[in-house]
Amino acid sequence: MITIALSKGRQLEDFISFLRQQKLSQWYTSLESISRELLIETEDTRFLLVKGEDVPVYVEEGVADLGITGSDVLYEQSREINNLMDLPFGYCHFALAAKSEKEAYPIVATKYVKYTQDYFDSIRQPVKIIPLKGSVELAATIDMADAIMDIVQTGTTLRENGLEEQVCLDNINARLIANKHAFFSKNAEIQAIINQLKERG
Amino acid sequence: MSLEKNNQYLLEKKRKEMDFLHHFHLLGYDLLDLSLLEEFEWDRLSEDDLKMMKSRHTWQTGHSLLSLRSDWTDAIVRYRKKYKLKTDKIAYSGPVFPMDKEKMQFGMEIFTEDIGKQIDTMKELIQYIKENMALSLNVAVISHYSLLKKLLSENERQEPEIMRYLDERNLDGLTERLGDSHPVVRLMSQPVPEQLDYAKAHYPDLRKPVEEIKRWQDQLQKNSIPVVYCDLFSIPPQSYYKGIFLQFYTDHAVEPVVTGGQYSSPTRAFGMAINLSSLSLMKNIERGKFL
Repeated sequence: MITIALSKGRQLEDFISFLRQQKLSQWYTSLESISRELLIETEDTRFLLVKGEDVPVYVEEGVADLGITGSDVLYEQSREINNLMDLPFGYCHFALAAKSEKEAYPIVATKYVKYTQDYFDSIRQPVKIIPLKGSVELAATIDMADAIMDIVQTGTTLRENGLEEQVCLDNINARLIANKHAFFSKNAEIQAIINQLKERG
Repeated sequence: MSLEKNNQYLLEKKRKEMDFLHHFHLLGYDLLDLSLLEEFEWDRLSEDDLKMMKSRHTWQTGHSLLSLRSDWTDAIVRYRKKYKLKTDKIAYSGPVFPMDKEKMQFGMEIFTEDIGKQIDTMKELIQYIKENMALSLNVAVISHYSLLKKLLSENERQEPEIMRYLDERNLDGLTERLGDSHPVVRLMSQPVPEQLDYAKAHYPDLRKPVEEIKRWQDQLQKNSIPVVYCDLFSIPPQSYYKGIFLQFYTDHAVEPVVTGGQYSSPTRAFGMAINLSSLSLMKNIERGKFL
């Protein structure tokens, strides 16, 4: 039995679409039927439905053998996991957004503190980071920050809050991750799943 | 936990430590105790010391940097560099405090390059665990730290991104950085159970470490470890680890319960330690396994 931790919400919908495309009916039929369950079991796979940020925690702790989460989450957390492969969904990118273009953005609000610090270090500009948990756009809209660092898919949320993308940064997509120990002890099963996800993909 | 359970836990913890030291003393090991408090001098910190600082509890007093012991082998390596240790075999026990954790380590070290004697040391520890502790070692992982030096150039080993991809088994990332014909990429592309034979067949430079891995693998299988697998891409935590590195797991455990390996500092040595977190001892007390 393999346990896979999945992000709830939009990434789960994208994953189900991907499974449909791959014709992996044994998985998508179970996942499509869920309403509010957090644990789903098929014949040989158990899915844990958790918050995206928590996927690496379940995997690192060995509660889940595999997990699917965004590369943004993995960058931010630096967990002891195996970061096995790209998955072709969950595409978006990091962006610095503000009301209007400025020479510098000394105060930045974000959920992505590590990424923001690394970015400003790379361009050699000092920055004060205001860490937030959500509704990050508001911080720039009400001038608590000069800009926000966030992930952007279509840009609609930014526009609706009067913000514009100023700097387009690294691409993000879903990644398959594995527990370091399970990667070896359940290698045959994990390899079979990798092959299924790669086939026809 | 009730007071009586706590009494049992404390007594059991002390008894296990005494049992371990008595057992290995009778097998001819000299016993060693070192201070829990370690002192460093700013201008004498080695690269290894600096690397370890992130995972240590440290504070400064006057011109000295003080730290709690975070790993016994590391403490012994520094002790051996500073003082002459007039013995070939030592056993020790005591707590270590890696960052945010407290663990109890029972371990032993043998100062010899004779692999036969090193294997005997490993067997003695496995036998002790089987006969005296309620732990069944179900999985062993073997690595060989000389492999990376042969697989990657010095420049490649100094690239943090390459080393991170290697540590994460990120084949996409490694392929992008190194190209698909690079030995690391070709080896990692093979199914894990076939990597060792592939290395031996395709990379003559790797033959010696591969044969050493096989020798230890045979011994582990003879000592009834049910699952033994090889991890060819392990990154040594300290530069003095130059050869075989072993990790043993019990069922459902994420962290290895026994770790050890060959190191060189300043002469060849081999050591292994049982890592008992307070929690695992406590759980065993609750299950009545030691009583």
